[in-house]
Amino acid sequence: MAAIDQRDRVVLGARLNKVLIVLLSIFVILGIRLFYLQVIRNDYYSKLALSNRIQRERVLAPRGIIRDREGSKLVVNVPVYQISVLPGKVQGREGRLQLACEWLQIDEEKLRHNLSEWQKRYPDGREMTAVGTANKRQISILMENRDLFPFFKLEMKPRRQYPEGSLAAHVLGYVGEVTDDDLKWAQNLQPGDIIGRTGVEYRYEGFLKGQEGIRVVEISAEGIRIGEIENILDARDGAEFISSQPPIPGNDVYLTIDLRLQRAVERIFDWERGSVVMIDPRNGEIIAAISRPTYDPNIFLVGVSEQQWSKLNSDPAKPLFNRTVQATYPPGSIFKLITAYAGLREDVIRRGQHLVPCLGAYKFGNRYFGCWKPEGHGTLSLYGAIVESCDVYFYQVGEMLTADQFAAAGRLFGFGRVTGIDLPGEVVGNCPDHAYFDRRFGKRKWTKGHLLNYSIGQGELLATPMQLCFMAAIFANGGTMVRPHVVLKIVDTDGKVVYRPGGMSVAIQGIDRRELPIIKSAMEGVVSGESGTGRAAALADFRIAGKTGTAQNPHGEDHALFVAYAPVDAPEVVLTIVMENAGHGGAMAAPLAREILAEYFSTVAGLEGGYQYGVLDVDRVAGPNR
Amino acid sequence: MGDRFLHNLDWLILLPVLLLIGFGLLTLYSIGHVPDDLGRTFQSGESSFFHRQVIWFLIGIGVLIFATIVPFRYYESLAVLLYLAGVGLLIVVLVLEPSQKASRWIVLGGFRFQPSEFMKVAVIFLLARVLAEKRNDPNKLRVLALSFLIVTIPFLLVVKQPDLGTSLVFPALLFTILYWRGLNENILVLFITPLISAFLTIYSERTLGRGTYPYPLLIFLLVILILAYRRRRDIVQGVLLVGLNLGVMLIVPNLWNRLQLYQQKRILAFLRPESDILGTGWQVYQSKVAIGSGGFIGKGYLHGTQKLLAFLPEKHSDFIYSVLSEELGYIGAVVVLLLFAVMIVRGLYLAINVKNRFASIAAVGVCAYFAFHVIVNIGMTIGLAPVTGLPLPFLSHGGSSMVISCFMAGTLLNFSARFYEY
Repeated sequence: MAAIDQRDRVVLGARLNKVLIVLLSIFVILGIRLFYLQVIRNDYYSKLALSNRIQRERVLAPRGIIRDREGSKLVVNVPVYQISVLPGKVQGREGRLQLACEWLQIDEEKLRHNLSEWQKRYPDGREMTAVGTANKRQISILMENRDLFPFFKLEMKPRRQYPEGSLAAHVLGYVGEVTDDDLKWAQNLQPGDIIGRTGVEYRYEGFLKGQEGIRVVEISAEGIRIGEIENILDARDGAEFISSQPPIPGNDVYLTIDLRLQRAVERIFDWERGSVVMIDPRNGEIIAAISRPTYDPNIFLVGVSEQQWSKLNSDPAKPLFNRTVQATYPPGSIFKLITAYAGLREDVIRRGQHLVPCLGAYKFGNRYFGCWKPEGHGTLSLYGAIVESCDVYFYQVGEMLTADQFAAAGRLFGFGRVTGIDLPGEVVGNCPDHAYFDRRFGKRKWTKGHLLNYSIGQGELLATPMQLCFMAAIFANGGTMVRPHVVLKIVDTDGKVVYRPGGMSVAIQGIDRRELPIIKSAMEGVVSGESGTGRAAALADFRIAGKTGTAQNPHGEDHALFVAYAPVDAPEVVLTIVMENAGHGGAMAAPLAREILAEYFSTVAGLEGGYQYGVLDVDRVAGPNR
Repeated sequence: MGDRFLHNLDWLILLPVLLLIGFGLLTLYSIGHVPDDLGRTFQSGESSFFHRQVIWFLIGIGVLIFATIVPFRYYESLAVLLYLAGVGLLIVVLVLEPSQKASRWIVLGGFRFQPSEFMKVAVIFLLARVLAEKRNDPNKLRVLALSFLIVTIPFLLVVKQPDLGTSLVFPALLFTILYWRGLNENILVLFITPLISAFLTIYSERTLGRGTYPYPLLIFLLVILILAYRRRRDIVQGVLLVGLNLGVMLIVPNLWNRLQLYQQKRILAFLRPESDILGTGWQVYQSKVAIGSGGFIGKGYLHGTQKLLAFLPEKHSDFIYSVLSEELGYIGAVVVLLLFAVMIVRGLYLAINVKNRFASIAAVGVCAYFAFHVIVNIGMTIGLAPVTGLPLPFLSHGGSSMVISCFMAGTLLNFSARFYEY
């Protein structure tokens, strides 16, 4: 290895000088800064140090309120006092803790147990909630004896409340305390914070949350709050850190839900499991939506016990499940509308064409495919086949179509893809095509027989109630698609609208609008016709169009389905009803639709006089002032 | 070994080291101590830090003696091996289950060990070995690329942990060593000014948002133009210098806007602690209160008050200098600063006095290591540098830092005792 020679040393000497100049000047700057802080500004910092019993507290912003479309409150905040324990301050004060528990009527043993568990889990000494909602007695005792019980902290917190109980629970969602997992990815969350877990509470978290503020408070050496401070001294370079900042409350969310209608639907729908969705086909607003069974979101606030939670979660009826967007069913005969469209579009049938008469079953190969009506429908045109929901007619249409033609028509009407609703957890269902059947059954292992089932909406085809509503809205609109949504607008505290859904209505590309009127008129026949399967939904004064469906269910009784829109000439409401294990759609779901639509026209449509069957005339209803 | 060895040994390096360790232990003891008059209100503090640090001190002294005695040619011959081992450990840390928020430690039988500290030594030795060869002139592209490669691998591994503060040590070591080995100053300027430009551009982002002019950035632009003017004879360099910096100033805001909000916040909190009042800004503020309230002569040993309040976080490790300055005042703070300065300056003089090129370069690397840590750590406590989590050598609580610092000091002593060796 070469040594450093004299010539090197000269070069290095010059470099050393430069390095020394840089290094020493930085050290001098540090020294000057220290001098500035410790000598020149000593007085200022001494005062700060003395008053360094000053702490910042986070002031939680009140969460935004959720209202119905008219402004009625569906979710509010109520202030509650909460008692927390500061684990670090308990040590050495066991006697006092005992006394405190006695006075406040807290189970001491349980508290101690919880506290030791808590400290094992969070060794950083973070505070634990001892009493979620303190009563008046506890509050006054604690306020008077702050000095005696430094380990207890009394804090006012806004708490979420759902004044209508389980009403529209699945749309509203619920909130909960953040978990450790949330804290890992979220930057601005702290233990104990409340965030939305499902529904609108989750989806619009960013709007509802608000922005927390900072409160500067003086505390005694014992860590007890003495009072709030606006500003400290003439704090010049500290002022930036230690002035209070008020919180900015969350924005109010106005839903498209109509409270009166929602209440009525909740009352009318007396089936144990199922769902109802009502949307306005002109703009996609969801004016009522229920999912059964339901739950009361208020229980999540009091702090759900492990037991309650597992009970809710493991309930086979799945009350937490939002059936309107998370449950899928075979659409049954409702899908015949799509089969009819596909048949017309692909020119395999013509409008007035009669096919082989229905004798109660259709022989395909060496198998018989039965019609729901064993005695048969006789000879029918397409119109009659939809009105009477004849299976045999549609078997024949299905036989002439390919799987991909089914899938293309289904996709056009929203099957097999999300509707884009602003609620979490929406599933896509299934709209199988040729490739799907190949995957599912193997190449050439499936036959036209599967397509016969496809044509009447059974088998692999699956859709959510929301998708059925979406589809019916396309018929109601004559080929225009609207994205279902539950939020009407979001308004900040100054009343300024900060969000309004837009671009909700889009004309569907590739739909053949010439084929729709015949299907639509048949849908009207389903409700108004003598032999229509949905005639139980008929109202004397309103022209209603609909389609019944009965979804076969391998696990039990069939599901009863019904979609409808009204009034026929200017549709303003689309309705989907799903009743699990109820039987036939026409017999079970259609009568409910009648009641709900009657309620709709008497309340929402703005007819304050109240609706009487047979008294109102159609014209008064045609132009509602909603 | 013998009289001559001890005679040659640079006591002006050893003595500051011992004194600094002493200061560290005293401060750690003080943190665990509650003044009598306040004993009623405060529980006894964290004395365990002191006890553990005493053990680390004993181990550290052992390492220091070892590092002094071993002939330094072994360091040179082992450099490649040490480097590979260090990179291996850094990868192991990344692959193993993270022990905390960031994966920085290897746990070995109750001891936690930070490979990134070890890596700093390995990088210094390997750079010194490569650049000690006379034909390896750092102005050659090949040598420059090799040096960058040596540093970039550990740099990226540490960034990945993520430990941005520690990772910045590596470029600091690289540039100091390259400069010492004769890197053309013009090239150095080309490397360093774009970094400053990027820093100032981000720093000015909020100023621009408020509608005022970003003065530091404009001043720096002026400096660049002056530098370019002085290079007017070499038009390529001048244009390159201005172009690079202007390019950075224009591209950085664009990249900046593409970052997620939380990423922006994290970087801003790093560069400007006061922008994050709920987090690091609060620490810096509390640290300034502690130091400022110390005054000229301090509140007296064991009589600090800010250490008692929970406001000063990391007071036993990253912010130990705040506690020391509060109790011992400006005098104590400056004495510590001077001790570091003496040690580093002696180390730099050593670098031109040793006859061996490896020793010369390694000595500069070690000095750069100490200087960077001291400046960044103390700068952080008084609000002049970003909050990085870099420890203060010899004082901060922590085994890895103590052992490595003692080892580094030992190598300096080693070079001084064998300065005549070729």
